[in-house]
Amino acid sequence: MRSLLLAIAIGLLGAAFIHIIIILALPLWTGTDSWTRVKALGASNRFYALANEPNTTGLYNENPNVRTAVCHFDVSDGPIRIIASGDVPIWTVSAYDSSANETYSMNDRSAIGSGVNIAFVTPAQMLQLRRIMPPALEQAVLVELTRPEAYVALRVISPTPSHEPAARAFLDTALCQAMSLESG
Amino acid sequence: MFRLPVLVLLTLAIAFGGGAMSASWTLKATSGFGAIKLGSWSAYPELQTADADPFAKAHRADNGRILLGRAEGLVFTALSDEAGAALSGRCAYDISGTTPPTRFWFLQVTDARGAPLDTPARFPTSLNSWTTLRNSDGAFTIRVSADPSPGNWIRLDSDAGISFVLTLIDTPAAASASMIELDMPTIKRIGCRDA
Repeated sequence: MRSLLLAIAIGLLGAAFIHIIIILALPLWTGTDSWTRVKALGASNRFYALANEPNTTGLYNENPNVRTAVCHFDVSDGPIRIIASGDVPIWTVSAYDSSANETYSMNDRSAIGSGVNIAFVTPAQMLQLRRIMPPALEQAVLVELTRPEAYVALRVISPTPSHEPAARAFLDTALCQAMSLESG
Repeated sequence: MFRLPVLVLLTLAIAFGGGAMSASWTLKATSGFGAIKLGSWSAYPELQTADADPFAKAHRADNGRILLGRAEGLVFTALSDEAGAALSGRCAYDISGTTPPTRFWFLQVTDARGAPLDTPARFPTSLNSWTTLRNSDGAFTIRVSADPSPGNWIRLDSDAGISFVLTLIDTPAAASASMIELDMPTIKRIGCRDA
């Protein structure tokens, strides 16, 4: 009897241990996290506008008022610039690392011009830019990323169906491009 | 002779089976901690960040949706009406009041797990701050029901549990929820049709 109770007690302890391990390790192997899904959309350094209905990619515009485009990239080789402009009521941008943690977000209210103009850099590149700022980046919002792999979601608000064409144009002309820093 | 292996097997079965079942049950039961609760509505402002708790991160990884960033907006979900009864697709509701200060908002009816309902395209399934009619005091009333109604109407005709999702775009609500009383719309059940 005693050994049975001991077996059950150790089992329960093990269950608690396994419970914790499962919760902590789940993000690593679901295969359905947003980073995996965004990478599966295609090559890096370009925006993919999401479809309006659920589909095999797992990503779609869940509400008719928000139109989203995503781009994944790696800043190790140089800064990545996000550029977009158009006549839309509201746009928002957020950046996530490869664990789907938000690293940056902004909306059009805090933009310098009226369009999106953001450059993602590594800390080393930021030091370089502080010494010499290329003219192209003078008006850009500089965001330092601690991890080089990231993805960005660019969202446009489309309050009524008549705003759809402008929203689509905004996302279709958005750029997610690499730039090289000339080594001094 | 078999006692030891049987006991070891029992221990392993309890450990793996119990651990997996309890983990799966906890993940289904909670979306993590750190919720803001305002009336029937709750939001998780830290859900998409590195500060989210392990439950929230596990949920996030399983769900795989791209969540709104902090400067983008905040999503409130209601699973029960103001009397505490769970929201049901068989009932009609009045969502009335005002939202916290925000630049834009939209309200959608989804199933209990957040997926959109299967509704024919000719019916309205969501309303936003630009398309919602207001009363003279600035408040609004949205009727959510199967039968059309004048004024603001969202169609709802489902046999299962549902939830209301109110998304606020560009709002200071997350930062101020603990400091001041924020007004959220109330959800009143009007009536239910028979099962």
